[in-house]
Amino acid sequence: MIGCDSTAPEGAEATDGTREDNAGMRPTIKAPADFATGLLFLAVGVGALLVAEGYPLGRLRSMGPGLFPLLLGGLLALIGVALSLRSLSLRGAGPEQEAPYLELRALRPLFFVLAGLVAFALLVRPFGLALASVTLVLVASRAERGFPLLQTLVAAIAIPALAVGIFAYGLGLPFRVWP
Amino acid sequence: MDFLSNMGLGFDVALSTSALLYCFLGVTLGTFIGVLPGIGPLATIGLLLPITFHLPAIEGIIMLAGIYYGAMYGGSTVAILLNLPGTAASVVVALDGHPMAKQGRAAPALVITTLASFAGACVAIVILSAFAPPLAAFALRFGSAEYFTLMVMGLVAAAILVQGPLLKGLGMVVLGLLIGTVGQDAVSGLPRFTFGTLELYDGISFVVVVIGLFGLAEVMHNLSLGDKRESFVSRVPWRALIPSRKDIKDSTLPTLRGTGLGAALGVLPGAGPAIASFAAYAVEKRIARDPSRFGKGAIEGVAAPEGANNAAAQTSFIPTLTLGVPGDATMALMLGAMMIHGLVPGPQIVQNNPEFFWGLIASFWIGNLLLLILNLPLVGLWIRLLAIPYRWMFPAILVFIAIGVYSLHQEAFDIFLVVGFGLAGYLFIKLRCEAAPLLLGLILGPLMEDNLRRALLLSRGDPLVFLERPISLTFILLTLGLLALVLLPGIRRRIAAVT
Repeated sequence: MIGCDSTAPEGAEATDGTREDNAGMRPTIKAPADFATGLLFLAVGVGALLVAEGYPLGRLRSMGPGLFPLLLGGLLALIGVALSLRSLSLRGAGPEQEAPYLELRALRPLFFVLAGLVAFALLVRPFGLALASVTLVLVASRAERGFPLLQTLVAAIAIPALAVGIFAYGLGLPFRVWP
Repeated sequence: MDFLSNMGLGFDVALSTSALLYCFLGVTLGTFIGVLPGIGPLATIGLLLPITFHLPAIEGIIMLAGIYYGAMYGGSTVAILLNLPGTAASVVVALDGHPMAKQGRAAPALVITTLASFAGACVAIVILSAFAPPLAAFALRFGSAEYFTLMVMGLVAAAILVQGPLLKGLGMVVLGLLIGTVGQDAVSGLPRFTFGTLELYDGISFVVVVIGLFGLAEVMHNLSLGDKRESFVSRVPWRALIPSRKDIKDSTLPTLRGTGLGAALGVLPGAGPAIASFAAYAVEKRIARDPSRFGKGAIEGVAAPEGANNAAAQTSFIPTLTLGVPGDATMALMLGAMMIHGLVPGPQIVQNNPEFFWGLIASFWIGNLLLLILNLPLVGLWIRLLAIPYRWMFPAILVFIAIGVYSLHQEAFDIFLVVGFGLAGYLFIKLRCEAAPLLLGLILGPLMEDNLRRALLLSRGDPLVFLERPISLTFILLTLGLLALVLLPGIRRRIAAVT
């Protein structure tokens, strides 16, 4: 619970039991989210090993740039394997954890939020801060269904005005504001 | 006398007009985001980091710290009135605070939380100013080997406290360490994991990571919940503010017990306000004459966790400031922010930057006093904020993300990085991975590699150096003890049972 954030879903600790009910011998995945996380760790760890392999290792007395990444990559891959194995159940116990799902309608906000940021990144250098932020608000506001048009326009003016005011004028950062 | 002259120096700094202004801004903003669900202190501090880089160091850190402990106050307010804990630390206070509110005793509950918070913070600040300098003096004896093992201990502690399997937390820590190695190697100058790009030469800024993983991912997660997001419109019953004499009497001892426990837990790496408030609640319930009253509006269940989480919020600055080893992700951000300002937290900071050190501590007094003044009369106003629809908030958060990140180096590339880390953060939410340990690993990574390298250089390549030095050996044994504690079945379940 230390995350200080409300991002962690409730009930995740339910996976931590060492339950030994049912007797069946078919291995099943009892914790799909943990299993996928393990694979992710394994992939990143192996990737890091492959890249860092080319870096000089040095010796313990004078560590080269390769040693630390290599140790970390190996450790991450091991943790990944262990986590995935742990989330399997040899006794065929049913899933104890809901599979991570991605609803299609959840993709809509994702798309518009990211598209807005990408648009900002592409526009800010050639056209200045003001236009880029207005575009960001206009695009990103499509993430929420039924955002009234008038409110969208108000938001697209008011929010950038406030933010540009704080950063460019309040803090006096050397931004190019106008095209 | 020493203490008085130090505090005098601190107040000289903290009472300057600009320091007061940023302290006020920080605690107000902290209360604000503590009240609002859907945006936590970690994300807010991340969002505001770019701004503080353009302020003088002391004002910037005072503001960030104000957000951190201000959020503790704000979080409890909504937790009590609407049963909506805005921060992890305020989950506990809702257990008895909300039943009190339902019985029409919202006002006493709020007053008691505010007073308990203030009392907890005040005691903890005294502890902080009394213990930080001797601890710093002790830490002057630390060499690279000690720092390395201390950081290992801090990271393991952070990994242990996440929900779910220990391996997940450890994996996130290692992932963070690995991201920390991106960029030019400090000694050989070899670029690592840059994939031929120039932009990654200086490494990945922790600001970009925190804004992506916490700020942006939170926005996307909240939006994807759609209708399942709760609406927060509710009327708040409002009676006399003054708690009865019995309320005060009943909550005095619990507050003090909670404060003591919170202050002690706050110092430990990995623990923090959330753990402190859980522990304080558990203690009160255990020693109560009639434990069945808990959960139904027992005032002890409000006072003790509040004292504890605010005390822990203050004392968690002790390891961050004096050892340079943060206890949780928020403290890791503070550490990163200080380093960007060229202040190196560690044993020397008390001697080399006394204005900064004592000024920050003095600002805690002022900030907590401001919070006391802000909270009591303005509770009604804070609650009305909950009616702000999310559709007004998220575009504003996004614009702040974009401009803030762009202001770091005026590089569009940084925004693409934020997009990438935002997606990763969203994936972590889906996979039920808490990202906080990753952040700790990222910030400590370069320091760890540096200390490991130096320790091995001094020992001429003998890895046994970590076992031969007594302080270092102590840290290793403590780390193993922590792991054993978690791996033994039962203890973990007992923690889960309390929460």
